Amino acid sequence: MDKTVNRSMMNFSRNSTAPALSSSGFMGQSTEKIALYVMLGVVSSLFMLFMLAYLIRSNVGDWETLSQPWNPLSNRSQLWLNTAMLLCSSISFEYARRMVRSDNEAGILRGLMLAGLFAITFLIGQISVWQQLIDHGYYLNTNPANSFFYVLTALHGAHLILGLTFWSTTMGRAWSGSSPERVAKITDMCATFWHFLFALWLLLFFILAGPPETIALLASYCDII
Amino acid sequence: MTYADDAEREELHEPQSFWTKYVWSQDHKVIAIQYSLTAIVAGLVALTLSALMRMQIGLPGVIDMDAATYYQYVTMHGMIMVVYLLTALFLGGFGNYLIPLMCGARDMVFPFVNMLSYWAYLLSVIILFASFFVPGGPTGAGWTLYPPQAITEGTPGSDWGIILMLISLAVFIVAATMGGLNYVTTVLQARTHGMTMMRMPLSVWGIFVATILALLAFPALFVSAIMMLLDRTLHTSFFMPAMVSLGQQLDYSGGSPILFQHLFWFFGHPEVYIVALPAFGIVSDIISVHARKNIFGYKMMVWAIVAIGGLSFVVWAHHMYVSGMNPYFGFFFATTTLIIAVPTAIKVYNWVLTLWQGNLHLTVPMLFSVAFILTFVVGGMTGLFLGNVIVDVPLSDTYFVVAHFHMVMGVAPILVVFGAIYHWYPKITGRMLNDTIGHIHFWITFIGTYLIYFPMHYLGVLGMPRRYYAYEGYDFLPESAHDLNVFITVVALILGTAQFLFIFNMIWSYFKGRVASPNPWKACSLEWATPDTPPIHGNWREKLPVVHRWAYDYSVPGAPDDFVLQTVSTDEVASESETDDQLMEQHGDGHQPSEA
Repeated sequence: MDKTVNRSMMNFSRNSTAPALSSSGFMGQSTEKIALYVMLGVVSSLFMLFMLAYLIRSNVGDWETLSQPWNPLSNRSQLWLNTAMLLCSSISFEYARRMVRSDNEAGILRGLMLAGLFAITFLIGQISVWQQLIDHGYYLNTNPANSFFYVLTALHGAHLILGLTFWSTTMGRAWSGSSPERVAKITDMCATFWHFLFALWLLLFFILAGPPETIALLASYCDII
Repeated sequence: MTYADDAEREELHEPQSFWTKYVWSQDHKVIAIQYSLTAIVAGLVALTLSALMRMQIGLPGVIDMDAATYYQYVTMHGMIMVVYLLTALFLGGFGNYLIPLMCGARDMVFPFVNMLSYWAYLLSVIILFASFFVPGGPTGAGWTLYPPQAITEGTPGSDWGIILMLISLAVFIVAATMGGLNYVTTVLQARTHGMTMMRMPLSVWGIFVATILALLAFPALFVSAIMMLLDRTLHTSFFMPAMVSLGQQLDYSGGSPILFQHLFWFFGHPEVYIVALPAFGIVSDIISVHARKNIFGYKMMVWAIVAIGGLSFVVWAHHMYVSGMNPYFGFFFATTTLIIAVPTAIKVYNWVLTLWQGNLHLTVPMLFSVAFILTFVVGGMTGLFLGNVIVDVPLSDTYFVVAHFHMVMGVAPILVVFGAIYHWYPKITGRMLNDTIGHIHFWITFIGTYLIYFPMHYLGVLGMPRRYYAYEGYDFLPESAHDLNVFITVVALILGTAQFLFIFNMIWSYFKGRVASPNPWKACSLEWATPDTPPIHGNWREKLPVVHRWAYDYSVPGAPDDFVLQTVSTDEVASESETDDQLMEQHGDGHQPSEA
């Protein structure tokens, strides 16, 4: 009569080893962390579809990959510099996260400050790439490759700006020394988000400004139109 | 320490003012009602549009409608019904109401985000409806919004209508994402003590998997909306090919309309299951309760939901057979389409086997649920026809598709919506809906929909094309087709008007309906075990419920009642049975104990 044993095939919900700061459930993760992972799934879907659209669209004859030798992104030095900035931002957040674990307040503040500064530098760097494109006459509607470049970098930047709003409130709290638990939690989540955005940027960088032959080869696998 | 432990320790802060209680509410039940009422109002607008369209087709000349207006009504009717009514009602309405109650949670895990989700949804509806009042009116591009015609001059609403439609969709997707984030995280995280994943009612499973589909599929619509918006406003060429319009060479070149179709249907097909999976789950629960039998093959039902969800991402191009594609693609998508019939058929068999030899109570919710099973089978069968390339090509542009689509995606889910509202209304309001009006509403709706859509299959096979705004002067259509069109229109008008019975019933019963007991259907799942009806803010008092069993313990041999609530432990059932046995012995056979 009792279904208790038979029906508990997948008991995901009970977990006795909870982190100190937040309640845990699914896979031992905090609620906010699970929500973050779900959100990253949605963002991944968004960018994957955009990148697939990019590859599919690039099969049409009017396409001009921006990294062709005669196009501006054949010189990728600014983009590499921006990549380095985002990497440093990501590393700084990881440093801040580790400082949280060792309860080093000064270290947390140092890590957060550097992470924010590098991230803002990255954004400024991206805008300067846009400026270079505009200076060379590569506007949004001049070629579909340009359109994708502007849209994808803008969307990626928008996600980083969203992250920076959380960063700014955390920074304020860390500076004033208030709600250390909240600082710890958001630093942890921001670090994960930043690593994700860095990995995403590497993928975007490759797709948008990678070797034209490789991109063309990938595109040929997606030629469904 | 689990989330449920924390929820029990934390103090509840009940909102005090009218505004925080009913308007800017963060309570999932209020948000569910806000979502539902907004969706129903939007649905009534779409229903009115369909009545006007049918008047134009069946009784031309009675109203003065031009072709542009007809196409605008078609577009708005389709988009409102699919996205702003059904998706919003199943996820925002039922998802919000049922998930925390059925999982034994106090609320969604992020109540503020949940509130934002509703207001963003309302904003999307307002933006959409605003397009009725802008120069040129709403878009008339068809609900699939295919470029290039959607944004080309000459298509109704190509000025502002299409822009507002795309912005509205983007806002809706943001709203759905905020809601979806809550539903998934709440299911994973906030289930009460003992509520394992495999003890969750199938309604929660359906909504949970549908939400995951929504979170992964809506980005495809978001991507296409952004790209088309840029094509329309900043003259990029994502989707727009080089073309001449009204004698002028346009700025566009090289864009791919087919790319849009792929993106749209990558969203569009999972969208069918975003609506269908919650309906599957809800129907499973309703028939189990009203047949007084446990659901047949619970685990199979869960895995079928998951399998259908997964497969729904690899069938999208069956909507595009007539767009032209590599024949191997057609073969692939036809095969996957037919494969998805397997888990779906498993569900249908299990529903029928649940009904088999059950103690059937033909209540209004049960009638709607049984009608759903029948309708879904009818609509699904014609789906098997259309899933084959060679059958789809000649039928694609005919009323056969209209009939199939409305049966499987329109009538079937809306029957579940009605059944679910009749089923859970007592918990939501504390009063029963009027049964007589409910029966009249059911029979008119059920028979009416069949009288409308069965003849459409015939018209389709006859070759009557869809998307035409007038059918006079086409020699290949016999007189009988015109007569049928008149018949369908008359039935549609009666059916549409009959829906006001339902609206009246909801309003009248709210004030005058019979007061409902906490568990009027004698159901096992947690929402019927709340200490208060309607449930108070926080759903449960100091302690959250503890779950000891699945949600389908009906007619358990030896149990004192024909249902055992999820909160009842085995020991409690045993001791109640013993007490009953002792009382029976004291009173002698044939005497029911006065107090069980």
